[in-house]
Amino acid sequence: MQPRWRVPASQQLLFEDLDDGIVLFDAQVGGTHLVNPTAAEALEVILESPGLTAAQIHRRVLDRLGLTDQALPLAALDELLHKLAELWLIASDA
Amino acid sequence: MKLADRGSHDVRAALAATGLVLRIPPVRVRVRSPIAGFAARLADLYGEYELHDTRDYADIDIRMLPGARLRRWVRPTVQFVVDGVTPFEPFRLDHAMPMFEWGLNWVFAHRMHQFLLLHSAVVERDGRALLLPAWPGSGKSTLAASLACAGWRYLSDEFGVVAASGMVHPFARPAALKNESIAVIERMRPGGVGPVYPATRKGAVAHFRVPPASLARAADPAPIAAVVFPDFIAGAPLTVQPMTPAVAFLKLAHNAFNYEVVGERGFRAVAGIVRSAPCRIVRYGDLAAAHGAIADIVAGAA
Amino acid sequence: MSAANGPSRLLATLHDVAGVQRLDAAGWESLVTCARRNAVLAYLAHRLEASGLLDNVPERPRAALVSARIAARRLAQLARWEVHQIARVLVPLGMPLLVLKGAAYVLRGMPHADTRLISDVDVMVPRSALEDAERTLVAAGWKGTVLHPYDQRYYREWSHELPPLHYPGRIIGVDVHHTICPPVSRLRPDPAAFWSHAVRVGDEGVSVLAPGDALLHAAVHLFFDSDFDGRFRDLVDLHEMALAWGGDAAFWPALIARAQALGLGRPLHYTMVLLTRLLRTPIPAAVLHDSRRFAAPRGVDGAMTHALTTVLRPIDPAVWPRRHRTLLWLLYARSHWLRMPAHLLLPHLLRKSLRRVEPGVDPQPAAR
Repeated sequence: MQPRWRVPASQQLLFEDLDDGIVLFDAQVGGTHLVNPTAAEALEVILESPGLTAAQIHRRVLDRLGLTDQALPLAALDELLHKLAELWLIASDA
Repeated sequence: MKLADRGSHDVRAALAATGLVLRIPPVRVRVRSPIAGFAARLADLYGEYELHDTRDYADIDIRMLPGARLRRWVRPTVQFVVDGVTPFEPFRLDHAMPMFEWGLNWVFAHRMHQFLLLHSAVVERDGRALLLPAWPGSGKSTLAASLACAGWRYLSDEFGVVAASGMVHPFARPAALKNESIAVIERMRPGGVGPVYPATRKGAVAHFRVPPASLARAADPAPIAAVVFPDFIAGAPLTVQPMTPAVAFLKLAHNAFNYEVVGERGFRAVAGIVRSAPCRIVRYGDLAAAHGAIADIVAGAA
Repeated sequence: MSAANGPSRLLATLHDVAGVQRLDAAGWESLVTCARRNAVLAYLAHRLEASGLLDNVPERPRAALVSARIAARRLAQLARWEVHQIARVLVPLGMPLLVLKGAAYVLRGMPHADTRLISDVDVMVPRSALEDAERTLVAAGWKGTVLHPYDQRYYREWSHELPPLHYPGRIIGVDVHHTICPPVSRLRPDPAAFWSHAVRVGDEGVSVLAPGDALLHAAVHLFFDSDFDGRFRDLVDLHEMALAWGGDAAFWPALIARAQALGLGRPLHYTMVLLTRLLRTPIPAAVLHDSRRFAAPRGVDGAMTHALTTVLRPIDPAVWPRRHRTLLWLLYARSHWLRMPAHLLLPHLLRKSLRRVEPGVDPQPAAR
């Protein structure tokens, strides 16, 4: 069973889109993170459409950023999702 | 009434009894101490500060008390007591003033979460405030003191007190100068630096007295026009480099006193600063050159 | 309000928060200073807010109250994160994990939970899993406190917990316990009893004590912890627990029975007396009467409750240094209950002294 990703109800993510990067604040842990466009886009996708699998998120991120599969392989996105989960920004119900 | 308007005998007696309340916006500090030497130093360094009615509410209550003298040959010490608690190990008695300064900073940093407290010196000219964030080797205190000698309004050497409005508020206290800086500032403003404490943990320390004109406006906030990260390297030519907003964000946030404590408010405040104020790194070996570059940066800011 | 000093004023305010409307400037400063000294300034802010009075507090005391609230909230947030991190490494080992005290109030979502200045997360694991837990946490990055081998040995032999662990760079420490009371004490409830009634909370495999057990645990620690500061704060927590759970009529008889079964009647009795005397906690008269069965013989009980009332009153910040009479009494009482010579209390006192600020260091930017 594929993990399906969402932002936990207890969490709240705030973004500031600056010229040279996106800064993210998570209200649950109180952490501040500098995120690259891929991570920011993935989080946006998850916020808009909770419950997607990594493959589905991958598809949407590639479309939105105009990237190819080679530029961003699924494995890399999957690893990113697990990193974000470790920071408690997202969670999976698998 | 200023502290200096009361005679030194009067000040000593008051401190030893019910105490005095100093107005150091945004706080009122109640001070008590039976130590005559400390009273004299306080009168010297804080002479130009306004006193507040002792019967009124004070935000911080500090007592500088002699430490227990267990054995005759042990050096006499002083304790910093705030709200009945001694957060620190005692200092030697003749370092009561540096201990007071350092302790007051500590208390302020822990108690003023209605503000975002950046670790930064702050000066102002023509209604535009300049942040000089602290980072290793920055020389921010020396730079801030020198700018004050050159006519800038001095808001703080340590705390960028940012309110919800986005304005920075003064917390104007004598700036702690170390080692070589002491002579540099003393030359710029003879008599502007207090007595030297030769052997603190930081080396030689002396305090730059806040200029009266700055003190007169100690309650006036200002909008943040620019952020300059100073980088002092002896003999280095002047260079000015931009710092991009996300990088500046992280530097300001990670070096603040209470960024994590205030949470979302701090996040928005720092974002507001890096969006609206140009951020620069100014590397300098010569103060006058730095002054010129800084004046240009602030004047050119929107 | 004609209270004579900070502690009296603080107690009067907690009895009736509306009384703050009659405070003058000196009264406010005395109240705020005393509340801060006893780590209940954030709690006072919460009580005022809950009564709709906070907005009308004069500007400067209000700033102090709000600032304290913000700081306490942040610590509760960090405690929750610390629990999450501990659960991540220990729960997959199949280890039962109980969270105690302040962090437990946070996990339970109690209204006052984020007003407590949490400095450590207290967790309990089965005795048989203690070495495993320590090994796993240390392997995952937590560091033990550097203790003299003498203290290490006595900590492990005499105490009910490991020396405190700390993840580098984080403010909140971790105390791993294997039972509620020090194993050498006169009170030796079987830890299995606590495990059997434990309640799951959240979805991370973490439990907390059943409400009655949590209250009994807090009652026991009111007398055991040799950190002489902070006992009034603990009494306030007990008050809040009584308010949270005491509305259910079945709660009190069950609590009495539980105390009887676990041999914790004496601390419960003292706690009830102190709560009613100092905080006017609304405990039903029948329950108070019932708990008197746990009291010591009349003369002793009177002396103990009188002494405890004195010792557990809020500390007066205007008095420095604190009088030693109190501390000597506490040492005596503790050593009596613990059957431990006074010099073995060293590890606890050592830990307290380890928390002092490093002199000569600049005010630290808040740790992540």
